[in-house]
Amino acid sequence: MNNIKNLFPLLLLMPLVWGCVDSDEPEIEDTVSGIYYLYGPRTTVEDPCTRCSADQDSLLEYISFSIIARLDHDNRERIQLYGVQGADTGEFGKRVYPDCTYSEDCKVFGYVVPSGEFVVNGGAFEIDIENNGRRFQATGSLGTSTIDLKGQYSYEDITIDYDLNGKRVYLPLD
Amino acid sequence: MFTGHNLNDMDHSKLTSLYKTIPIVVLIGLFALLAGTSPPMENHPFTGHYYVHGSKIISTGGWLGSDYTVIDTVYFASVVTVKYMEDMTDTLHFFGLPGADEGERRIYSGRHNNSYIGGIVSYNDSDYNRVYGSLSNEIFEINYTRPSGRFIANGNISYNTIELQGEFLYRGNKAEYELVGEKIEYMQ
Repeated sequence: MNNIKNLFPLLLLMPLVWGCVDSDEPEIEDTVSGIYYLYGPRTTVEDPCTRCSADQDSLLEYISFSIIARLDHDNRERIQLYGVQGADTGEFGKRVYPDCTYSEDCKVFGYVVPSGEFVVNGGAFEIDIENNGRRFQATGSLGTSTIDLKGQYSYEDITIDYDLNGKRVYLPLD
Repeated sequence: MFTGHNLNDMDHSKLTSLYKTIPIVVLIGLFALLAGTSPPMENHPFTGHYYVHGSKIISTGGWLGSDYTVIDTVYFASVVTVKYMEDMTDTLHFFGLPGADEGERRIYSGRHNNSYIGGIVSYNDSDYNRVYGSLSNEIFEINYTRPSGRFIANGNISYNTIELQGEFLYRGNKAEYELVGEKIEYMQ
């Protein structure tokens, strides 16, 4: 009986210990998921180039847009990206999923290179997706506060090159 | 002098006290569990990332009351972030909004050319550059004026959807936006 009484303090502490240590899922540090702002040149080469000026065979534009990155906690080798121009967003005829109007229908993943898992401070990744001949390939890297992305969309006579840099934007909701 | 009877009373008293303590400690443990697992996400239904799609009509002209001439119509998609401001409940904060803090401009012969501008192409994470909209029920209005252009828009937002009609203006350039979208549901 005395031995049982001596165990009471431990029994009382067990829920507290159990509460502090999440038994369902291991705690995963995630400094990758967030909102990023990208900007830089976009060069479009198409035949014919209907938007080019008379003396140019390619169209150079300076663009900016935001993307969302989410670390896949079940597979830390990849991140899901939303809003990548040329992949799931951008002009309808100039992205891998041309008719997509709902994000779940046009998922874009970036895979860690070299193979492994995203580390605490981010890392390099590559995107290579293809849909009915439309292809988007890119390499990039995510840091704790920066991002860069070099990519190319290609389909038949259209090639669009992206050379983008950016930074993480800390909005309270991410 | 303690008797066996007194000892039993004391044990009974201690046990009663311990039993009373158990539910409290269990509650503390559960609280700690919840605090450890709940994601730090805002939970207002308007707050979130939206996958939007629609049209952008670029035109030039408008000087001295002249008509605008449409030079391009683009159908596109983008991602917009919306934050319901907890401390200003009549206000929404937009980020990555086409025409406002997302856009494009064409460059000819190495120079930025003012004949084609669709939105403000720069961002500085300062309060001055943030795009806010006034909110009344589910209707919002945006009036965003900066040296690099003006963006005015109105729309409505509900629990999972957003609609917006907007207009970007800069020195005789106009980009008219019509967008609809749904909130992004993240992978689990």
